[in-house]
Amino acid sequence: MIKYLKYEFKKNVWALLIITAICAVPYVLEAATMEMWWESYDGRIVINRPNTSMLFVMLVILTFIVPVLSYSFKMNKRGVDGFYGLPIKREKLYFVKMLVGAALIVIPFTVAYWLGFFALLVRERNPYQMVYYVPMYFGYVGLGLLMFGFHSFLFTRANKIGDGVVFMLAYAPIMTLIMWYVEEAFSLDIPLQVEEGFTSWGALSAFDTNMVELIRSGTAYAKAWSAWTYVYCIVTGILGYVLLFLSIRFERAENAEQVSESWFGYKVIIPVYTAFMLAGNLGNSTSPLFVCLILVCAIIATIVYQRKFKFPARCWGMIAVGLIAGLVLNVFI
Amino acid sequence: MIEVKNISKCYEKGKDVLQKVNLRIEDGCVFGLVGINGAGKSTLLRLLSGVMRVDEGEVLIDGENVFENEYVKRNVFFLPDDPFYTSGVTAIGLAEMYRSVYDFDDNAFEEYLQKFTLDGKKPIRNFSKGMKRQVFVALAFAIAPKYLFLDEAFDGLDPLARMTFKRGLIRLVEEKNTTVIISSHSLRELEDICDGYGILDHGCITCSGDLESDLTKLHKFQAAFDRQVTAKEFGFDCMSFTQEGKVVRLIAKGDADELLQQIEALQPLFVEEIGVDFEELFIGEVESRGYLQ
Repeated sequence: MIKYLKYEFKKNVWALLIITAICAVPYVLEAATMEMWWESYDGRIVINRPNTSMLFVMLVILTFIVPVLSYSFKMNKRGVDGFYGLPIKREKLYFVKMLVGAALIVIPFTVAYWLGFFALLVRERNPYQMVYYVPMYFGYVGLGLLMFGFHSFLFTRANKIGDGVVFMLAYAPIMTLIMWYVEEAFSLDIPLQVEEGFTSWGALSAFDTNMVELIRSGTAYAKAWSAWTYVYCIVTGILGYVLLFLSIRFERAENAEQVSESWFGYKVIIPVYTAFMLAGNLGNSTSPLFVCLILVCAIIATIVYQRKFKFPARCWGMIAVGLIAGLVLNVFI
Repeated sequence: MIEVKNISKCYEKGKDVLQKVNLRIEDGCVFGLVGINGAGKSTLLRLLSGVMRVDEGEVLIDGENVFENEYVKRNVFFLPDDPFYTSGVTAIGLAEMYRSVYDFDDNAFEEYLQKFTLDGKKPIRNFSKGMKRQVFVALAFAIAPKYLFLDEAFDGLDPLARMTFKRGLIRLVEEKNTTVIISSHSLRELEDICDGYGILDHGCITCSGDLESDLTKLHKFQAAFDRQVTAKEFGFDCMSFTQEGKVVRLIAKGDADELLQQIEALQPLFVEEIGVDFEELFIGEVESRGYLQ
């Protein structure tokens, strides 16, 4: 396995270099040139946000792109023949792909992060509490890797690359959608940050917000609610890795390029989105026009799922379940 | 030795691609796997190479299950009909991948790249279909596995490359006692190199055995009559029967002398026995199952 791991790393060197350059150059340039503070009209020094948003965006994008680079072989009949025919167990194959994927996230991020750090450090009259950059690095990397695990699991549920991307994107805000409904239905006063914290990148966003305050003022900004977003990220991340490896033994090579029938895919996404969008989270209306609009969206999603216009009765059943659930849930609003 | 015991495989519920297939292939045998399109040849090869899992039964190589068995798979190389390579990869780059998981003979690889006049440093994507196949054939010979499974083996290869390929296979079998399973529609090519054969039909092996001895069990006669004759007039079952005017060509199983006597009973103007080839055996088999009329 070590020889194969070395081969995979070597094969990905160019990808690594290019991703590193794409991440590092803009971040370092911004770090070297950004305005760190300004003086207000009353002579007060106002410290600007450090440029960590770029790090956040960088990590989020990488955790969506790298699963595609790492695992798309299983969504291609030729790839399946090529890789599953090799004398290497699937668990090991996926482990190697996971390690290389993690490297494709961590190495570009690390290079960009520390070059940016030094670019800031050498600047004169630096108002930032630079010491917090050290724990922030580990926090970012840890949360990024958890997101990678969650996205990897979702992506690998698909039998086509496009479906995998849809799964990652659709699951990212699914909990937020449900929480919006819960808040509306039960008249709860859930802070917006909590709802948004339950996206797949929510913990990273909350962490960034907390660390920015530490770097800028040296005082912690962390709120009690943000703990839940971390719990959500940790649970989904760990579950992602565990389920990814547990599911390998049930993997059917012949499913490559076929319709994605996973229970973690369209079968759940379409009814859940139909139900909760209809329940009023977005439209807060059950007018016939709105119901038709949601129905059209569900049908379009089912066409994407089945890749044909004439889909089986069970798909209509799935849409019906979503619609009925949506109308029932709407009663509570 | 390869033992296929009662294996079944279905992709969709109720649609079996393979049903209760049994097969036993001795070491050092070159086995031709033939069948009409969609018969299940590629599926069988994928099961034999551990790419896919059987639904029922077992595939044993040297007495061990092949699926997810690294140890067994180190002795197996599967060359699919449309092999995988990443965009931009060169033959040398591809060799690097196989070198990381197999015992790889660089000299043999180099030798076959030269024989096929391939540039190992050019991206494979720019190669023609036949050239791509040659790259993978060179890889197979460099790996020199104990078990080599080739799907649509001659597809895209020019006559010269086919000859190099067949010579390479024979050399591999002689030197390493490699067991080769080849699926192909080029039956004349298979006849040159195969010892054994199996005909897959609707997911079942309907006919298998030693190619040479089975060919001797079939007899092909050419006869001319002064009148039109029908297959029914012969006192035996014809596997194949073609008529051009008053000339009849037929293939039948049985004792050659008895068959000849029965033909002569119809008082032909002329009758002779001519050789049967693998293609005729195959066509005779599929005709007898009602595929070709």
